[in-house]
Amino acid sequence: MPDSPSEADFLALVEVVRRRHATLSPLGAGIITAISQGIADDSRTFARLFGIAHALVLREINLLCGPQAPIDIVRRDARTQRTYIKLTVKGDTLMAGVLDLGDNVAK
Amino acid sequence: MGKTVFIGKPSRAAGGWGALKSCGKRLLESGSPLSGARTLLKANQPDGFDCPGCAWGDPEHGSSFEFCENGVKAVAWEATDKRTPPDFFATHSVSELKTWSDYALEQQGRLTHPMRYDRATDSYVRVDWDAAFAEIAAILNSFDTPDRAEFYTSGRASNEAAFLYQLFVRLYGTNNFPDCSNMCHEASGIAMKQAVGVGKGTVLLEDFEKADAIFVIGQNPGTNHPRMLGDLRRAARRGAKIVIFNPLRERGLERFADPQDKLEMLRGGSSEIASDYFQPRLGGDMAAVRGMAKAVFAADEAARTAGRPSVLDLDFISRHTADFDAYRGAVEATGWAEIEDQSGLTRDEIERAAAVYLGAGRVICTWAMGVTQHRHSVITIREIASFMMLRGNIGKPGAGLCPVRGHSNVQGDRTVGINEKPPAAFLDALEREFDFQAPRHHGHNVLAAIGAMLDGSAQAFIGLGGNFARATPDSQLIERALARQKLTVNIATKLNHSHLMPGEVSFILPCLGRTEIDHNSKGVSQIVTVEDSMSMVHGSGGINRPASPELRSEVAIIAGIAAATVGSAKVDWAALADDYDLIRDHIANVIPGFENYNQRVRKPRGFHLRNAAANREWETPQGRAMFWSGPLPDAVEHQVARGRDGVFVLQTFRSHDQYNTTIYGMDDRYRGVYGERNVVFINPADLADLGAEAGDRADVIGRHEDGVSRVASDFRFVPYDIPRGCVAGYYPELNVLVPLSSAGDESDTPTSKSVLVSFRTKARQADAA
Repeated sequence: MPDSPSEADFLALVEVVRRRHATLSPLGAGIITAISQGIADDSRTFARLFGIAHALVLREINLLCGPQAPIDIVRRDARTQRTYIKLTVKGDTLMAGVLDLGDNVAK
Repeated sequence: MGKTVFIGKPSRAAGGWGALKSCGKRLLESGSPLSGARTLLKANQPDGFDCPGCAWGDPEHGSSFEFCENGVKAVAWEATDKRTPPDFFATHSVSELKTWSDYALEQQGRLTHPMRYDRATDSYVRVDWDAAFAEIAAILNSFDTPDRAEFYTSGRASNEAAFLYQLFVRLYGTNNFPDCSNMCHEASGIAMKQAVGVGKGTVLLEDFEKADAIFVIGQNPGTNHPRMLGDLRRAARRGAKIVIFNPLRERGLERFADPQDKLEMLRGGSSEIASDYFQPRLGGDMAAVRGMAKAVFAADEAARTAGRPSVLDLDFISRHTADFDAYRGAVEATGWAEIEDQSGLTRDEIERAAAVYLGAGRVICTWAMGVTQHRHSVITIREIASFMMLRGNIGKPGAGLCPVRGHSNVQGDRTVGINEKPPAAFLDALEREFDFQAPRHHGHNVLAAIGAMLDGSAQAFIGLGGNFARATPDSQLIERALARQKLTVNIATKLNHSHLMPGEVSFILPCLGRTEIDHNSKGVSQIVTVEDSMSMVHGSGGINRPASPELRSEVAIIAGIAAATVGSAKVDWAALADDYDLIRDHIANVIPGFENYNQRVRKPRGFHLRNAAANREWETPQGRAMFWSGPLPDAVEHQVARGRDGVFVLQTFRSHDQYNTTIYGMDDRYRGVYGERNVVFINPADLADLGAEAGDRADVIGRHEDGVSRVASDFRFVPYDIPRGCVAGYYPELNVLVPLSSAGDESDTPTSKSVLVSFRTKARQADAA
């Protein structure tokens, strides 16, 4: 295991998330994984780090969010649309299972 | 729990964004089979998000809105958390709301439910969608002729909404399509059709990377199309000359700090844009262009006399154009004194601009409403086209004509059939596709529609977006016109003054905005498509959840009205509303250039609608690009004003905090105005002649001689770098001064850049008292 998370590590984890939650898009799974890993907890940071248009990230977050969904919106900046997000209980549960499996996959 | 089993070092700098970003880029480039990230990064790209801010080209198609003040404001305006629910209307009567400003009305937030005006309580009350559709249909079907109804379109409407709208209206039986382009670039369409056979710009965004010189005439991109400044800035940085013709000194045209250049933003720096900045008097552009042509002909004569090659593109002129000799004769017959007097520029300035033109192998000329909103706009654009033809600057890389449109889909709406004078070929194809007989007689444009509403021959107004009452000239007349209607319907996202001028029966039908995700009955997100100023057609999907579950898309609302009004025998409206791909299939069958529409629009950046003139194919009756050889106007308004004591020529324009009739805020920071909009920009010497000082207030009096009294009350003078005899102020506040009876020759465009006015200063009022 390298000192820093490699792209392969991240992608492997995204794949596991998708396997466990088949209705998630790759982008949605990536957002959930990024929150879980402390990489990004807002839309603009995620967009910047992954080089994806902010609008596309916003769309995915809005499609994904809700109390019964894996993520929920904490707050939104009215001017920039930067949207802060968190994992819900459902999201935490999902990622808990994923990370156990992901750890095995990585090894 | 997740973070306790983190798979790597929790350092964002080391292991975070650098690696992830490069991963995305590499995978995007490689096109390798799925590994999560390829889809992660690519999945939604074809269904990008079109910035609703303006009609300038959008190469990024997803993030541009963040790097442009207009984009940020437009998205934030629509994505507001504020709401205007039925309760709001229960506590505010229409009479009360009429006293509010447009800004205050829109600040209330998004409309949430369909509403019907209740005359007994003078307020809007909630209504069911189906009940609204049924009542609208009943009234529309009660008229003796479909020509009693006017169907207005704002440039916000998508191709799908606009196509469905025109189909419904033509099935209903009329071509009454007043639309917002009647008030802005109609002159461009008409003049370019006459000159080069196509009523649209001939350049692509990529041409701005190749041009040696870019002439920007009567346009203020810093406020109206800020992303254009990025392209001008890049052109300037690589050495292209940017020549500006604008009566006002606009800071945004002189220097620009690109929000995408982080280093520049951090340092607070900016880049120079204009290499030459000329300030003609209002309406003086045509004379300035003729002067440049005269200088070009003089240079050509000098070259020939000295035995050098012609400076003209004689091959282009002989192979592609007609009426060159007549044009040369007309230009050479126009004296410098006439040119200088009408343009407001000196011969030296004009020759300097011509020298830039002569020194450039590839030239683009852009323009906007500073050119199109005069009486002589069509011939001014003919003059521009003729000037550009002298050196073959149409139909080659890095060169061409570029009218820059306003709203994000105003060009697309016309393309898909919002046209009161539809071409026969379009109607033929529409009839074949839908098996009906379309009306062939011409319908009403904006001015004709207002006239018909005022004289009673029109009895219904349906507005697909926009703020008709504020956008139109002589705005005090519009309330009278709308109030006379048996039916007014406004399809809108937010409340505005047009909704507060109800006819006998009046509805506000709230719709999704472009920023909102549009799910169909199967839960699939639908995309709409738009066409930018470069004729690029691209898809756009919403990014936010709808402001209310009661909202319907524009397409669904049109389909609902249509089904109730004309029935579904010819068109399955419900099916089209549920799957916009089906609408696009119909468009592809009806309009040339849209073949494989659904497939091509899902490619990143979409596709380019072929432009014959850009390929040097001239769809004019003569089969050639046409020079125009008429004279300059006898006198433009500033020359008329000069002969009348205390009379000025006024242009209306936008502030930096507004887009069309939408006021985002009360500031105009480029021009140094904060917290107010009732201002008049005036030359300091003119201000002194009035006996007034900066900050003094005055009523602005319309001086158009048609017997109508027009006054805009209590405006503050702001000294500004603007030619003497010319003044400027904000639209729509000053629309009360723009005469309905004054319109562009051939185009019927309101003459909002040539309004004769005088001032009644506070001091004079006191004296009079």
